[in-house]
Amino acid sequence: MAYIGLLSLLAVMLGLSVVLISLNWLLGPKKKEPYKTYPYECGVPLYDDTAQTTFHQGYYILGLLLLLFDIEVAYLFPWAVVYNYLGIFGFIEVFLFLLILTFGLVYAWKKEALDWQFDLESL
Amino acid sequence: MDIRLLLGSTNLYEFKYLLPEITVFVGAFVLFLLDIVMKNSETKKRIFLWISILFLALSMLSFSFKNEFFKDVFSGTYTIDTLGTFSKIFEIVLTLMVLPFLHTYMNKKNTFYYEVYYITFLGLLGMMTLSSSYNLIVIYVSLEMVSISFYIMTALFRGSFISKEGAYKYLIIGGISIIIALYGAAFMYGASKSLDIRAIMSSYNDTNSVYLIVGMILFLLAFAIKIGIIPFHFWLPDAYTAAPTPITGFMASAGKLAFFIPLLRLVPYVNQHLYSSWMISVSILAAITMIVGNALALVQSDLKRLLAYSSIAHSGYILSVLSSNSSMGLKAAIYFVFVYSIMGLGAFLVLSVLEQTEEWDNQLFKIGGLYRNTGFLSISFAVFIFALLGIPPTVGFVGKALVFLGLAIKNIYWLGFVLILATAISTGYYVRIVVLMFMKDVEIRFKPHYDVLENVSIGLLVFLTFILGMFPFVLWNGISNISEFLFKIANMR
Repeated sequence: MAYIGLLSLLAVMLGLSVVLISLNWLLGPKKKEPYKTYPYECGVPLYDDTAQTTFHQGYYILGLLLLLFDIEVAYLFPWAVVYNYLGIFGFIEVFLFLLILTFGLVYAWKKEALDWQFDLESL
Repeated sequence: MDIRLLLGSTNLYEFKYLLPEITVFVGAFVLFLLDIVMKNSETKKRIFLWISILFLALSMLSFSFKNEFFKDVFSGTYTIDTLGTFSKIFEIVLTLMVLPFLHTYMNKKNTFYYEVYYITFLGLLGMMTLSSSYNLIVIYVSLEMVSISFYIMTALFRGSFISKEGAYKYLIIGGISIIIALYGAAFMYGASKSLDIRAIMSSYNDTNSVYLIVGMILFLLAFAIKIGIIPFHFWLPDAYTAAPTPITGFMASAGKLAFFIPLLRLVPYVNQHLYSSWMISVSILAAITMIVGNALALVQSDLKRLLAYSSIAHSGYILSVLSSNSSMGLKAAIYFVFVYSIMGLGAFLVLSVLEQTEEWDNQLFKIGGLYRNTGFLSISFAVFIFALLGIPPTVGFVGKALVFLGLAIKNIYWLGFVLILATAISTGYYVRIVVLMFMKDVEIRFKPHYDVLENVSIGLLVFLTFILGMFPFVLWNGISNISEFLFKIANMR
């Protein structure tokens, strides 16, 4: 009986979502248009007809680099919050952390991961 | 806040005990910087080889700067002891032997990546930390370090689909094993409120036993995946076949050695309450591994895959003697781990030299009449094969005899008979290789390439295979002390 509130919340959730979806389905206008089923690709025409094509390798490398620097920023926020408390120790630690990540960027740069205009011969 | 206050509990002078590890790390960093700075050329390849050899030699030298037999440093997270030092020296020597093969192999196969040198170094660093810690977190981080280096190195075969496939399988199953290890570590920590394996194992009593045992089972399962015990072995043949052959040798020797060390460290702490369950589970796994591993190797037609299955079977031999949980058993296990790393590495390295000829594709029948093509390689290959089989003047015999002794001392005779049966099965494929090499007509004619460093490496491994087999006490005296010392420390707690 202690969980009766939770159960009622669940019932309300389910009921509300069922009601909203069915209202949408009942009242919404139904017009067939070609662009409705057209896949969305950033406002430009599709490059390929299907979704199952091979992507350029560069996208993956870009994704990896994005992950790298995203995580860098994510770790910098908590450091910035307690900066006054940590002082010079925190500064050195973050400096080392950034240095390692910078080496990652330099590595990617030198290995021409950022250079997309390569010919197929060099692969 | 001052840096000294935060580092207050750490004694900075303790870093001197980490000198070999630091040297290897600095070596990796120097190679990385050189890779960024220098232009690709033949000179750069040679410079990389020699700088790697230089740093490994420096790391070996730096062992002489500390003279401690047993010491916990960094608040008990890192342990300096003889087993650790011994295995670290061994891992460095094995890496040194692999490097020249890596250089020529990648040159010949047109798949030269400079990254492979510093990834090897980082993997070696992981192995070194794995070999010398009782702390769950350090073990976890080093496991990740070794495994991730291995995933990358398995994939480093330019233009080979199989290489990518093997690396991907290894990545997925290795990732699962890491997760299982972490889960088990969490249970162990929750049950015993300690991260130190020694404290965890000593804290066993009836109130917390369930969670502790669940944690231990999960943790051991993860290690079983890493060392290739049979129900969990599926990644191993694929990854070993897919990797460039010198790297396969590196994984099968130094990697296997490093993965076994935490298990070996665990054995003295298996106390009376845990003994029967430990014995039953480990011995059954070992029996399955020995029989099935050898039976699967018997039907392989690919030489590299055959050696991979033989590596699985050898994991079984080592695991079988761990079930005896005695000082003698631990000695035999340590001895066998070390000698397997010698003979396994030798076999894979000979294969990597043969692979550098055009017509060679690792098919078993192609080894026919190898003796007429190259005397040195075929004789050294035969030596390693006989050692893996366990023929008397080689190390393999001493290893297997010691394993049998270790089992007999605790009256686990049935496992001893399984060991003999498995060895009998293995005779089938090992002897077939030797017969093909020496008694058949030439299948393909070729002249293998010649490199001084490679031949020195193979010659040294052959020498070790014989000398440690004929005079086993060279290694045995040290190992005997190590094992008794580990048991003494464990009983003192």
